[in-house]
Amino acid sequence: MSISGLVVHSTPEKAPGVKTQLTDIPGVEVHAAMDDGRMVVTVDQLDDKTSADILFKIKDLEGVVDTALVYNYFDQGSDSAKEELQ
Amino acid sequence: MSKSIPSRAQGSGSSRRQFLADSARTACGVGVFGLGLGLYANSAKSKPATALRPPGAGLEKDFLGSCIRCGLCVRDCPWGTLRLSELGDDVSVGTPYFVAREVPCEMCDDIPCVPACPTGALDQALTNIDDARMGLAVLIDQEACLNFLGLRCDVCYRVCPVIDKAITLERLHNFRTNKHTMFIPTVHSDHCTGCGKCERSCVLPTAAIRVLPHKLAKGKIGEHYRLGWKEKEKKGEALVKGIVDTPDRLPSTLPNGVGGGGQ
Amino acid sequence: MKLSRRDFIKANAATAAAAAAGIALPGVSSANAAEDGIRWDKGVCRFCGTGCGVLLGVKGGQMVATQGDPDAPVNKGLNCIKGYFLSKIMYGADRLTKPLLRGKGGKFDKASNEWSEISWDQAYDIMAEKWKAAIDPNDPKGATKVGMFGSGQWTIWEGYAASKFMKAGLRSNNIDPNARHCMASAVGAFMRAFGIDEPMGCYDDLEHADAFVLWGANMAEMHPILWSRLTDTRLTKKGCEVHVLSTFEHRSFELADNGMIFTPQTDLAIANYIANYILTNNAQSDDFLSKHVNLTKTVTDIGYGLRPEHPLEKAKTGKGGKLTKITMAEYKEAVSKYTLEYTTKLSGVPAAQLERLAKVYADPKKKVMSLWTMGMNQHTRGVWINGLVYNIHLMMGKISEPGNGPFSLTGQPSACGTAREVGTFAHRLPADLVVKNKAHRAAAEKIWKVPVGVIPPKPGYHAVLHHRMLKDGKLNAYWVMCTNNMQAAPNMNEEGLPGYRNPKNFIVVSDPYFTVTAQAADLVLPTAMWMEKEGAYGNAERRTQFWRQQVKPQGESKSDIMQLVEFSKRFKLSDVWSKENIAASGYPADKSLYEVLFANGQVDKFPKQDIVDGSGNKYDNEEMDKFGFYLQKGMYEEYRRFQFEGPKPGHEMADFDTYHKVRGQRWPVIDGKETLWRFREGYDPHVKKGEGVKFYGKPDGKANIIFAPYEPAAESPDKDFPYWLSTGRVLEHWHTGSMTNRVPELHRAYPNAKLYMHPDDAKAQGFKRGDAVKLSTRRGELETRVETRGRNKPPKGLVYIPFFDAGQLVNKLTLDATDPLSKETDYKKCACKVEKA
Repeated sequence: MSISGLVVHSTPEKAPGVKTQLTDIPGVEVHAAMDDGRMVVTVDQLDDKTSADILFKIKDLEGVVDTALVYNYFDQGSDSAKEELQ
Repeated sequence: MSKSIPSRAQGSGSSRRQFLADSARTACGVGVFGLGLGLYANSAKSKPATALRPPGAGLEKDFLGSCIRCGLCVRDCPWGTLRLSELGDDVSVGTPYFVAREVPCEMCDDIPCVPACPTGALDQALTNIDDARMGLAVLIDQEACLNFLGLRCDVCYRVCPVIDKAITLERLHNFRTNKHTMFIPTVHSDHCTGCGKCERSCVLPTAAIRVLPHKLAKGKIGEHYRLGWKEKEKKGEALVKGIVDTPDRLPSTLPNGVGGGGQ
Repeated sequence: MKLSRRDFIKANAATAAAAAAGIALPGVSSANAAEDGIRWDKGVCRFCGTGCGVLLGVKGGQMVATQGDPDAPVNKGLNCIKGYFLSKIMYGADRLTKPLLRGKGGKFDKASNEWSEISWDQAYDIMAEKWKAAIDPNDPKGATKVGMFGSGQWTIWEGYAASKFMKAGLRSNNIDPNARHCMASAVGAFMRAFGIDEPMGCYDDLEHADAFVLWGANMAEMHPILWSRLTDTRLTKKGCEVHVLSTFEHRSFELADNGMIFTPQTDLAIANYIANYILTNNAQSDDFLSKHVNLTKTVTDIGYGLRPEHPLEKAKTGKGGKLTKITMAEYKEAVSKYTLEYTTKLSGVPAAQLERLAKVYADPKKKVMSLWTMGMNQHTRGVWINGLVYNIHLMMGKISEPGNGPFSLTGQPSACGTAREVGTFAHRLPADLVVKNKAHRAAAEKIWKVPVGVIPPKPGYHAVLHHRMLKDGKLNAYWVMCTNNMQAAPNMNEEGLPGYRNPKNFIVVSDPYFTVTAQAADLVLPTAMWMEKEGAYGNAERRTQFWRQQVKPQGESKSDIMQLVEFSKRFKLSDVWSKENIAASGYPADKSLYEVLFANGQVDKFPKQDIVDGSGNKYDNEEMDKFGFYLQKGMYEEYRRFQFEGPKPGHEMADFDTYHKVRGQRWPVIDGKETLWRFREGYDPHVKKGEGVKFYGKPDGKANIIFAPYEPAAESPDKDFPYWLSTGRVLEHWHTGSMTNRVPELHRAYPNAKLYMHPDDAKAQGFKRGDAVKLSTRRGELETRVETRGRNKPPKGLVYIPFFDAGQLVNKLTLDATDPLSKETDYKKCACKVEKA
C-alpha cells in the first residue's frame, strides 16, 4: 500500500479542468479545491512505482503549475485494505 | 502501533529512497514550487537538523572536518546507540549519529566511543560523561506534556541519569483542582548531556520532550542586558557602592513586622 | 462506523496536505470523527489504593479511552502515568481466551511442559475431581488440604463470595489474600490498638496537616496523585514541613525538609526515641492519655516467622502478641533507653535531624499526619512499628481529627474494600469478625444460612504458610485468583515453586494473562478483568466505589465470581459437610453448594433487571445473564447485613443502588452521610454527644499504647553477603507488571529492572554503570545491571531492585521471614552480594 497526500497548484481558471483530469486517474481523490487553484489530493496505489508514475503524470497535467508531496505512507507486503482499525 | 506513522521505518530500502529522490526531482523540476522546498523536506527528511552526534563531538562543521568516517566509535558503542549514516539518511554520509527516540546514549562511565576515535573528531579530553553535550533536551510541546496538564507522568524526569540537576520538577499550584501540585519538568542546560533518555521514554505517541543539537535548542540572552540578582550574587555585594536607603516615616506604635522600610 | 486502515491513512494524508497548505478540509474529517459516539461512564482506576475516579469511554464494545473524573474528590480529573494508560491494560496481545490444562490432548500430565486448550466444563470437572479427592467431609478440622489465594484486586463481592465459598461451603479457612504481603501488619496493629481496622482519618488530612512524616513510603512514586496533594499543601501552607524516613534516598526526598536515611530495622528505635523525647519534655497530653488510652507492653523476642526448625525460631524466647498493662512510670522507663545518643548511633541519623522530627510531634500546635506503606508493613516487626507510631499520636492526642492522625496507605485498589473489609484472610470473617471467636462464627453462620459448626474455628494457613504446606504436601488442591504470587511471594526457589510443582498438588490459576504464576500452574482459567465485569473497590480512606460492566469479557474468559459460583455447582453437601452439619442444616444431602450459598432465596432475591445509567445507556452483566438473578447485588446486600447485624458495629455502608449513583462514600455511612474522621464526636455517628473521643472498637472505649523494643532484623549483612537488599516498585509499573508491562509505552519508559547501588560501592567492586552483575542471596541469584545514577540513591552498603520485571524474579532472592504477628513478609531487608556476571 502506498498512499500520498499532496498539494496541487493550478491556475485558477484551469482548476475545474485539472480537477476532472485528476479524478479520472484511478486511485486519485481530490479532497478539497480552493478558489485560488490549490487542491488537496491523495494518491492511493499498491506500490511506490505506480505512485511515482502518477505523481509525474499529475505534474504534467494541463494547467498544473506545481505539486508538493506532503505525506507518504508506504507499507510493503501488507495490502490490508480490509483490515479494521483497532 | 505502526498504523498511521508516515515514516521511513516502513520503507523498503533503496527502492523507497529512489522513489523519494525521484519525487524530489519532480518537484524541483517544476521550479515554481509554491509551497517551498522546506515543506517537502519536512516530510521526506527530518534528520539533518536534529541528528545527534557522539559524546565529545564539537561544532558540526569542525566535526565533519575531522571525522574520517572510519566507524570505530560505532563499533565500540556497547549499546548499539551509534550508527553510521547511509545514503539517503540526510546526515553526511558515513558519519556517526544517533536517534534518541530509538536508541539513546547510555552514558557509559568509560565513554568507549571517544578513545576509539583516531582523529580527535571526538574530543579525547572528555573523560567524564557528565561533561558531554550531545544535545539539549527541550520540552517542546507543553500542550501535550501530561505534567503540564497536571497528571503525574514525569517519566522523563525519573529516567534522567542526571536527575535533579539536568531535569528538575518545578512545583506549581494547580489552580483548577486547587488541591494538587503540577510538577513541571524543567531542563537545565548546564547539566543536560543530551543523552536522549527522556525523549526515548516519553510515553506520548510523539515525544513532547526532544533532544536537539545545541544550535537549535538554545536561545541566547542579549549581551546588552545582565540579570541584576545574579550579578549581585556573583560579586557577593551590590555592584554600585555607596547608595543609601533613607528611612520611611511611620507611626511609632506599629506591631512587629508591619511597615515598610529599607532593605 | 467502520473505518478501514486504508481510509484512515488516506484521511491522514489528506489532512496533512491540507494542513500544510492551510486549507480547511470539510469532507475529510473521518480520522477525527472516530472520537464521536463514545459512551462515558464512571469507574475507578485498576491500580493502587489511592482510588482515583476515572471515566470510561466505550465504543463498539471496546474501551477506547479513559479520563480522570474531573469531579472525583480524590483526583479531580488527574491520573498518574499508569492511570493514563488504563484503556490499554485489558488489550494485551496475549490475553488468555480459553482454559489451558497442562498436558497433551486435554489429558492432565503434571510433568508436561505442554498445554492444551480445554472447555470450561472439562476444567470444572478436573477441578472438582481434585478438590473432592482432597476433602474429607467428616474431618472435624474441616477441609485443610484445599486452599485459595486471593487478592486485594478482587472486587468486593468476589472476595466476599470466595470467603463464603471456602469457609462456609468447603469448610476451609485456608483462604488468604495477597494483601497478606502488603497490609497485614497495618491490620494487626489497628486491631491491637483500636479494635477496629483501617485509618481513622481520610485524604482530607493531606490539606489539613501542618507536617507530614513518611515512615517508609515513597509516595512520590507509589501514590503519585496523593503526593501531588501533599506537595500542594507543603507549597501553599506557611510553616508546613515534610519529614521523610527511609533506608535509601528516593524521589520523596526531593520535597523533604528533613530527609533521614536510617539503618534498616532501626525505625523501631526512632519511634521509641520520639516517645521518649515527648515524655522527658513532658509534652504529652495527660488529659487524652487518662481519658482515652491504656498503656501496655507486648511480648518480646518472638522470632521471625520462619519454619520452626530454623535456628532463629529455636532461639526465640517469646511467642505471640499478648499485651500486659503497664503504668506510666513503667512506660517511661521502657522508652528511656532510646536516648538521642543511642538512637543516633543505632540508626545512623544525625542527632539534629532526629530531634527536629521529635519536635514536630511534640509541638501541640502542629497537626501531624504520619504516612506509611510497605516500609513499615513489610517488616518482621511490622505490627510493632505500626503500633509505635500510633503511640506517638495517642500520647499527644493527635489523632482522629482533621490534619492529625496516622494513615496507612494501601498498594492495591481494594486491599481495604475486599481483602480487609469482607475478611478474606485465613483468620477473618466479614466486617472485622474472626473465626476464632464463637459468637463471630455464629453470626456469620446465621447470616449465611448455614448451621452452627460449619465454619472451622481454627485460622487457616496464611500466605507464606500456603507455599510451605504445598511444598510439604499438606495442601493439595489450590486455587490462585487475581494475583501473581509466583512473582511476588518470597523465597520462590525453596518454597513457592517446589510447592506448585509437587506431584501431589493440583494448582489452578485464574488470570487474564499468562503470568509467571500461570506458567507454574496445572490449570489456567482465562479471566475477565476490571471493566469486563460489574465491580466495586474500597480505597485506603474507606471509600467504596462501584462500576458497571463496560465491555464484554474477551474470548471465553469469565469473571472470578462467575468461576467461583459455577464451581460451587459441582459440590453436593455430602461432598463437603459432615453428617452432623447436614443434619443440623435440615438440607437434603444432595443439595448443591450453589443452592446453599448462592441460589438460596437470599442472594438470588434480586431478579434480572436492565442495568441503566442516568443517561439511559444500557449495560451488560454476564453473571446476571448466566444465573438469572442480580448476583452482585445479592452478594453485596447479604454482606451488608454483617455491618448492621454483626457483633461489631462501625462498618456500615450504603445500599447497593446508592453506590451506582455516587462517586464513592467513606464508611461508616449512616443516614446517607459518610464519615471523614472516626472516633470523634461530631464526625463519627458512633460517638455520642458529650463523649468527645471514643475508640469504640475496644470494649472500654480506650485505645492501646503498646510498648515494643528495637529487635534486630532476621538477616543482616555479613562478610559473605555484605549488602542489605531492599525491593520495591517504580512509578511506571504496578506490582509484578502483569498489566503495565503489557502497555508498550510503559514498557519503553522502564523496560527492565536494574540494581540501584551507591557509586562508591560499585567502584570498589570494579563495576561500571550498566555492567551486567549477578545479584545473589542465600536463596537464589539473578542477573541484572548496575545503576549508579538516577531516581534512587542507596547509601553505601544497601542495594535496591524493583520487582516488576518477570525477566528478573526478585522473589528468588527474598527471605520468607515474616512478622510473627501479622505473618507479613519482610521484603525490605535481607543480606545479598553482588558479583560480576
